[in-house]
Amino acid sequence: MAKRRKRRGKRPPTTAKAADQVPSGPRAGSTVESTAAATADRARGPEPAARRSGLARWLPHLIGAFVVFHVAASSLSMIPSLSRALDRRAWADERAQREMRVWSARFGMEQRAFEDELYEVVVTYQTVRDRALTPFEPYMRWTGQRQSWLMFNAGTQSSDRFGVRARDCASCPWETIYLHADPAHAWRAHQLGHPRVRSMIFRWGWPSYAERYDAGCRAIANLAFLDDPDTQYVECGFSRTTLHSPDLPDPPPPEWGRTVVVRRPAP
Amino acid sequence: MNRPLNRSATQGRWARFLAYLTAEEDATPLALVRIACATTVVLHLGSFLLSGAADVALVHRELGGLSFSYGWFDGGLSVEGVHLLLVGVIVAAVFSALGLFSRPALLVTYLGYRAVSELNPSARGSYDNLLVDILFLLVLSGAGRALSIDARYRGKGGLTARWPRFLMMVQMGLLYFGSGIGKASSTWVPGGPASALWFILQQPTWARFPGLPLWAYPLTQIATTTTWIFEVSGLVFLFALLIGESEPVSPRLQRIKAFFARIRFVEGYLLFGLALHLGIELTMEVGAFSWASLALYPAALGPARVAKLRAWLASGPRRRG
Repeated sequence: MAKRRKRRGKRPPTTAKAADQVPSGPRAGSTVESTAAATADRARGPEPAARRSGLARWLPHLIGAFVVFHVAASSLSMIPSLSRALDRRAWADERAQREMRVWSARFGMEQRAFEDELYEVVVTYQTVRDRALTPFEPYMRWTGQRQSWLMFNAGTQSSDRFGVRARDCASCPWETIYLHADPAHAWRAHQLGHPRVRSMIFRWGWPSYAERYDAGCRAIANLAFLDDPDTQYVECGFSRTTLHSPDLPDPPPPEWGRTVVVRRPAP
Repeated sequence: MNRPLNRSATQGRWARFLAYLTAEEDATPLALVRIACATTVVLHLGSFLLSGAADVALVHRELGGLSFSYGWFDGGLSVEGVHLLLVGVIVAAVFSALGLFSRPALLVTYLGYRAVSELNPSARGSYDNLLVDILFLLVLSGAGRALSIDARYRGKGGLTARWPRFLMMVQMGLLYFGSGIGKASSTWVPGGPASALWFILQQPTWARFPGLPLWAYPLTQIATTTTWIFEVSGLVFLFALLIGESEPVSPRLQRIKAFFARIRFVEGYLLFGLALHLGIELTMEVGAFSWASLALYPAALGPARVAKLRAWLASGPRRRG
């Protein structure tokens, strides 16, 4: 017993190397110089009264273990997931194709061969990433944490602008009722234009979200039918816009496409 | 022969690491994170509720909404249920910002915000991830021990352990580095046309202004490259933060620490980040991302810089002049 107590109370020697690599207590100005030494002592070995309490003795170690675990889980989760790139339908998009052209040229490869090679790399990368994350996955899931920070990964000349058109009969002309960020066509813009809803609609522009786009358009059409009893058909679509730039000062006009048409359900 | 020495060295490092993590410090930086984060939740969910967007975005498509997910609620939520949930989270976030029953309020805000964001994963943004990550750390921290009703009137003020703030600093480094390494397109990576921001700032889905004049193109090229460098330097920033808070013995690390201090790397990085986020807010509509990111900045400033800043602000404009 005495031997165990002695071992617990023994302070580990502090080498210069250790001091180099591990941050020490607070600096001047951090208001708690006096407590820093106390907490350092607490970490090395608890005070006699606290020694009787198992939790007090182990709490700093538990905190340390948790911090290390949390940092490891967060760091591995931060490594970008390329799971969406495993769906090669997305590669057919014009914006993705442009990237493929640029990078295959930089690597001096034929584009098709480059794409096949890249796909193999993506599959291996994703497999390794998923395996490394497996031990941490329950922790991240239960605490709801995500470390995916893929934002605006590409700036492309083409972009999609969501819109909704309506008409009262099969041969009537379409009337644009909503076009994103267009005050002249602002039906339910307070809802469809909210950043969260825009975020969802933005994803519909990608081929891999075709199913959601279809269902989403049906929900939007139901709102249009509700608001206007005369409306018989609703069409969702994307206005494919080419942005101007020094290379293309006069871009072609937007093209309306990728449409989904919904007919009012029979009563 | 070496093994016991190595073991002792490891124990020494571990003990010093624990001493660093469990050191107690002024709770003001964490309190500022708490106030900024909770206020962001209030404003963001408030606009979501009041605009009516939540009525379509969070309701399952079987109930007439746009969502494919039931989230945490079996069968999904009706419009009234969505309203009730949002109001509950907003009230909890107000309590969190005021620091009234801080930890329970933060716990309800954290769980409630998760419940909201699970109702439609397609309508989720990166700011949701960031807010949940920060709220989780705030629940574990002593963020209610300063600048709070709890501290002022309920006798709950005092110092707090450093480790939650340490994890927030790590979070900042991961946020920027993770965002930077994801920007691998030819328009972002130096050596290409550096045209990413030119096009992103004009994306009809996100842009506040419809078009940029051509003379602004070189400016956006500079902004593209500096933003990319800023983001991929996220781990350098984290290293500079940590070494700045430690007292290295090795001459090499002392020199590195002195170098970062001399060029004011941390302050410069934070100022660039502030300008970046304000620029994003000015030119784009991307939800609560900028405010959620800026909510972490007090954690990086730390007690010493926050105390200096408070003293500087308290000194009044005349004396500052």
